[in-house]
Amino acid sequence: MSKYIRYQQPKICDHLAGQYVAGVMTERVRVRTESLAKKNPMLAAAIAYWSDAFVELQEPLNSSLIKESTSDQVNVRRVWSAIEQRISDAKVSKALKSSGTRSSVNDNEAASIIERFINSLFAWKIIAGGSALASVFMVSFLWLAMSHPEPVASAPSYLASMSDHSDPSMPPQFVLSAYTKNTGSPSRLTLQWVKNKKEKQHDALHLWAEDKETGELVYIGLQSLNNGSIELTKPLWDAIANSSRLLMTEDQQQPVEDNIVFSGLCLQLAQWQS
Amino acid sequence: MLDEHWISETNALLYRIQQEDKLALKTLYDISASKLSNLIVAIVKDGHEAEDVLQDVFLSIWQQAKKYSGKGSAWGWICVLARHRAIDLLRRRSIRQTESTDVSPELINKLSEEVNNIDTHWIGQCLSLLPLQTQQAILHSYINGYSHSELSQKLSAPLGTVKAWIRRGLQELKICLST
Repeated sequence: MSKYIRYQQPKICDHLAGQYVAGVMTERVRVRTESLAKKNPMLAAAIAYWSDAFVELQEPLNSSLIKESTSDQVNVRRVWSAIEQRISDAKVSKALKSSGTRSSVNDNEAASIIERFINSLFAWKIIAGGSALASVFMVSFLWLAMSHPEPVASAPSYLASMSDHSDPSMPPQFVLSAYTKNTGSPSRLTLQWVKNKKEKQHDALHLWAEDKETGELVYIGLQSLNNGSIELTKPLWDAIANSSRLLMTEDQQQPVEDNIVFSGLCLQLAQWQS
Repeated sequence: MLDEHWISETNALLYRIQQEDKLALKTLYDISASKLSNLIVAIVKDGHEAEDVLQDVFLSIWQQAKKYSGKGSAWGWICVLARHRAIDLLRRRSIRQTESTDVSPELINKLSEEVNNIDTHWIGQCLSLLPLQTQQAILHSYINGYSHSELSQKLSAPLGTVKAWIRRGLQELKICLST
């Protein structure tokens, strides 16, 4: 039997996945398993299954056993500073590398232009040289500005990852994010697909917020599924802020089990941003 | 069982990290660094090395978040990533640290007892049904990051026997978990 066909068998996949997650594989075998899993969805699913099954074992570890002896050993604040530093170093080094390449091209072009200009119009050499250099700086500046746009300033205050209501075990299809108003725009709710949107079944769905204390359902509005956004008035913002989960229905009837298409827990992120 | 809210939270955060949202990475770090530290220290047995591994894990999450396919929970994916990074460091060391710093065997026994006593930890219940040696082999590999040959030395059993314990143990666990 070909070794590739062998890896299509559920038993083999399960065996490999169990050993992969249990940690008994050598690094070489593990890398090989990871590469196989990229091409073999059955193996990837088996790895996900074992990863979730074994993760349960860590809870008692966290709760009482090892925690006492290890909690003082790791300075998490120091580690985060190092992570931030390395991410920012990587970003700067990437930017410098690309801008360096680009400016050397610009410098060569500029040198050639300046040389021709000075040869033909000697009397104007100072003005011409100055202008050409100014142009080079302007081009470089514009290029840097265009290739490194300002990051989006605002971060969402609330977020719900929406899954198929009939099968909540499936990965979320899209994320709804509520942004508080800023100088440029009002409070709004946006939709972002997690992966490419598949077959179009709905262009828009009706969105509801379920109050976390009373269970009351508040109608938010018609949400486009084409990455559109809803403007949130104060009462709608409050409804989202006080909700435990968001629901989407096909019609504007009150949500019941039969007409809910997507649902997701509504998480507050604002407090983490401070 | 793991808290549904925790699973949703980590899933949502990893999706945002896939979109290069640095705030999400910070949030994930704030809520999970301590849990991951416990996991890593259990394997590498050294605080400074655990800090290096923790740093490496979060840089990998930042750079490789797109490798998470959405199959299984994000938390499961992160834990496997952290364990593998810790095991790699451990195996790169020429000499494994002395037995006195291991999470074993008393702690492994205690863990077996603890998982047996917690109703919600269904993998613990299934684990408790396995023969003691198999139980210990699986826990040692999962918690201490032992390879087959290291387990063979640790449990004073031939390599083939240890491999068979693990193979059969995982098969029985799968059957138990699916019933």
